Amino acid sequence: MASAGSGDEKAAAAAMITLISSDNEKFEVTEATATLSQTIRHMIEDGCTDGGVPLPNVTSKILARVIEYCKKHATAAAGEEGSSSSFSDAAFLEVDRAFLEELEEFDDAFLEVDRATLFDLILAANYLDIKGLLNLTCQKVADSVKGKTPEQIREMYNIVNDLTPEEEAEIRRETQWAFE
Amino acid sequence: MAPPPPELMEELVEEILLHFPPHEPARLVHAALVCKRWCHLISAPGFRRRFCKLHRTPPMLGFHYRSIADDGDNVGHFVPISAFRLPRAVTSSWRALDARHGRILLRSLGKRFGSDIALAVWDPITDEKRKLPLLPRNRSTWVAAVLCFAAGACDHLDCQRGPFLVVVVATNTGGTFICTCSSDDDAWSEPIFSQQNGVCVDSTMHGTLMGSALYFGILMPDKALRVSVSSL
Repeated sequence: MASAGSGDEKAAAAAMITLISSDNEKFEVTEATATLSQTIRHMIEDGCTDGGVPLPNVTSKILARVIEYCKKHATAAAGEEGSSSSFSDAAFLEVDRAFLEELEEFDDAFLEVDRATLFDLILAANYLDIKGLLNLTCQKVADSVKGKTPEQIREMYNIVNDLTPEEEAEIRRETQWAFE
Repeated sequence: MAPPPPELMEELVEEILLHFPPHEPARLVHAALVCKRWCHLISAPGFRRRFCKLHRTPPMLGFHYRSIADDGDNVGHFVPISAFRLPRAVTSSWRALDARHGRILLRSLGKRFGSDIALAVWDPITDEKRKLPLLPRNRSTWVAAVLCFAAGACDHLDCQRGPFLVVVVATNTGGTFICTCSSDDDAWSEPIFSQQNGVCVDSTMHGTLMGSALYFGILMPDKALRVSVSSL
């Protein structure tokens, strides 16, 4: 899994970057994939990626998932750049739409993980500054509490209720409409 | 059993709360009851601003209309189309004239004020109503608009509680004029007359804000009256 440059890497001449997880596993990725992370983009700009980029906050398990996301979305970003050039006919738009649908399916499948992994992905997306992944994962958590009572949300996310009964009563009184 | 999720930093919990859907405001209220931290994050001053910025187009929560009661008096109602309820759904004796930037401009109805017309700016979320001085009497046809005081220089993400401006455009025998009243004033400004003759404001049309100018309908085909807000 830590191998480099698999067949789907289109540009063989593309610059490769080595990412090193907290448990010392090495991942070789193209610059286009790596620079979806603003953190890594800045490191590349500063010229400090020789010898690999250590990511002490991200385990190999999570980094592999993050790279999977970045690879897919880097291809999407490249596709968008292409579409803004000379192609604008209906057939091309059709292909574009199909690709966006595929990307959506990819995202849905990507988010089929347990809560601990989802939170680890949020932490990694934040640390690596990958806006798209952060939005995607945060939206997933926000959606997961749909229709849940405060008690159920606490249970789901292991949160202790430290509101006093008086505080709770006050919020309920002020926002009675939300409980009808 | 799956391991418990790792602890998230405050800004990441906020990021999750920001992704709650704006058209279901009850869900944010339920989230505020989870724990102190969530409650503080949701009620913090910057949250509303960041929430509006992320979701941009505000959802429609309901609409305001008036009906005529048995005694002939007018009654204003709020009809919700989401779970959200206003603290006061019925505003008897007041009718909505205009709404913008989180504020509703109301005018008095019925007999309470005699022939005088009272205007008030209402924040429907907090139910705060600020009554304005009585309108100058020397008007026959008129329309009014409410807007954030810094209309041209504000993104209106969190200005509901800030200063507002009410602009009245009226026509009388002397011509068409505007007068204004801001949240800081306790009287209407002196009228400023339009330099164009024969302009009569169309009281059936609402004012429209575009950029930093308000446009009002006039009784002249294909023409509108432009009021530059930045010059007021």
